[in-house]
Amino acid sequence: MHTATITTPTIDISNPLRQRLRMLAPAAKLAEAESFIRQFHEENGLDQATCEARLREVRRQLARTNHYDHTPDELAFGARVAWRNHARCIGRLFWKSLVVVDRREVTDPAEIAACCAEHLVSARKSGGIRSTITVFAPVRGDELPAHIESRQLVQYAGYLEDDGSVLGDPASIEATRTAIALGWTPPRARSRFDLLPLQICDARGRRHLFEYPEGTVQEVAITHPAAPAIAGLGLRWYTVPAVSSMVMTIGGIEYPCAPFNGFYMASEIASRNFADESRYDQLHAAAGALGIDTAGALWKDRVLTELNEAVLHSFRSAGATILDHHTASAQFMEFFQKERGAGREPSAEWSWIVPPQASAACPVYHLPMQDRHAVPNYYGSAATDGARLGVASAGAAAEVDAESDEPGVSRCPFARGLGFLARAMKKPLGHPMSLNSL
Amino acid sequence: MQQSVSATARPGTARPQLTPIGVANGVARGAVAHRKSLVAVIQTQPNLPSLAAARVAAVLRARGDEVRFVEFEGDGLLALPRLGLDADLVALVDADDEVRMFPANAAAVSDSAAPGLVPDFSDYPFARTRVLPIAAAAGGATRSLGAMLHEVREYARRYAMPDLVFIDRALNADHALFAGLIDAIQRHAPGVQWMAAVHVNHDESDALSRKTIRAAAASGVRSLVLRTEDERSADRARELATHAGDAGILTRIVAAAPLIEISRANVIAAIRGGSSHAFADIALKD
Repeated sequence: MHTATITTPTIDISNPLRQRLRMLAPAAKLAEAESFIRQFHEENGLDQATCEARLREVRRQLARTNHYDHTPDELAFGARVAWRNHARCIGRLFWKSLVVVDRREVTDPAEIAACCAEHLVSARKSGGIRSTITVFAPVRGDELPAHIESRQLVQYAGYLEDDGSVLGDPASIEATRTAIALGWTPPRARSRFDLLPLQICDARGRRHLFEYPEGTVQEVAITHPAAPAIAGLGLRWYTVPAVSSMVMTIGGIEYPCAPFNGFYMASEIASRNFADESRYDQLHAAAGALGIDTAGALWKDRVLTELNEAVLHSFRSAGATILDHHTASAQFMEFFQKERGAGREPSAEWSWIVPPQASAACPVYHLPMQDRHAVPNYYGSAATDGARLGVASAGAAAEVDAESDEPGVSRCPFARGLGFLARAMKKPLGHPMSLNSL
Repeated sequence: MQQSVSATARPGTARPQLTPIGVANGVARGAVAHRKSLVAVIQTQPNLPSLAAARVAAVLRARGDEVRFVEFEGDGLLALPRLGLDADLVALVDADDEVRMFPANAAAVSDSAAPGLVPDFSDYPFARTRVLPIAAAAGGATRSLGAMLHEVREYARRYAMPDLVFIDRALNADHALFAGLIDAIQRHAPGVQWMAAVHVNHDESDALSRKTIRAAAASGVRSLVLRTEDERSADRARELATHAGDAGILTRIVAAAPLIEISRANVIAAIRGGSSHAFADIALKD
């Protein structure tokens, strides 16, 4: 007869959000909190006595509840510094101008959805597009808040057809299937650019779907200034790229629901969303429209350039802010030097900063970079980009000489010869591509 | 100092809301407004997530359930009253990835409820494992290449490039599928590493050759289980293993078994930390 039914304690491994969050021990959380409060006071020129008083208050709250609330000014500062620290963003020159909308009191999915709609409209109210973040409730102790599951506030549906082809954005096939299972009805005439509803998970993990009111999302039809046939491809894209699935971490407090937007660099749409085989895969179609012969080796380069031209032209015609990759690259160089001028070593990840188009013609290609994993910051998951974030990580990274051959310093692997790459790979080089690239 | 733009609603003013899809005039259209479900997995291979449990989780979440996920050791049926005390539905996943639903008359939770959903592994702690199982067969038949590539792509996107192990069927049971995966997988998930089992025939009707194995290595294969039918195919397997070794693929030769099957229950627990060498420890079920 069975007497022991469970031989080890049951492990509750739910839920998906908890798995993505950094799990900070109390001492680590306190260290991040203290570091952030000191940084806030130092960078804003506040006096030492005020800082010490605030530190005492934060320590007291953490000891009692394992949580403390940021003041609105701390939140705004933290969100901006998180952007400044985020190694994968090329557009950080404007980090100080980030508009921070404090919605921490909003927890209901229907209200969160309304705030997101408001975000998309207000981000483009001033004529161009303003970088904006809307911050909802943080994790308080063990209590998880509602969060947005959609990768971006705006996404196009992707329908996988029976023959294996995809109508729409292949990156959204699962989101589309899930939305349909949850009760969303796609338009009667499905298209490649159907807007997906926003998917929000409430505090208990239940999914809710919301469609935006008419006029919330601004879209631009893609035309080319000199090649009318490009318009015939029927391409379009939305103007406000708002990332909604990343976690913002400030002073040991995690904000899993904090959608933020900047504005597009044209190559993100033209060279990736439209061109990637795993996305809209439009290179051949665009080559046809442009009359470019696909027999030569460089036809893709020519098509990509023209697609970038088309996206820039279309957005500018619609009055929507957009940058080309050369300007964005130059702005990043300016940001880099400004940060050094302010006594800070900027954090950057080479493979993310270097544009997919005309890479070596952009100055960032030749710039050694180091990801310092500093906090505050944004991350997708504790298992990946969030794993190394922290006060200690940033300190350790700062000790590495940016000119050294340490693997932590990212750069074009060929800029310093094969020795660097061979050491990083821990084996002799024999890859023909490496040799040819030299 | 720059001030935050606080957008807190003025006292006394109602905050705007959007109406959720599936709700009309404040009333949910579905028969059940709020279901609490539990996926309980018997813990046998802690470093390889359960594919069956992930399938169930995907379907339950896609119908709007609140889903809790537990792993435990012991007798599932006896533990059930304690585990599922506050759940409307319990999916009990045993060591062989068989799923039993409680109450037994609960609406079937299967792919038919939400066709083609990719299994949801997001409950699993990815600090613990970087290896995900992916089914090479469905209902006894080989899956389509398109469906498998979609799954690979989705895993790469969701979980930042895990290593993959193809289970449930020898991958070269369908030559076109095997060749298609080798040809396309790196385009869909650049950098992916994977392992699979293949069967070896003495008459070379298994689509395996030095050329295929080198192509497989280039497509990210790090380990192959070579399943042999008899002594003649064992000789050939040893020859293929030499080619595989030259190409950087770890191999294990497994003698004839009545049924090719790799399941979660017989994956050795040595898979740790996403090391490609861990693939070498995956064994076949006899």
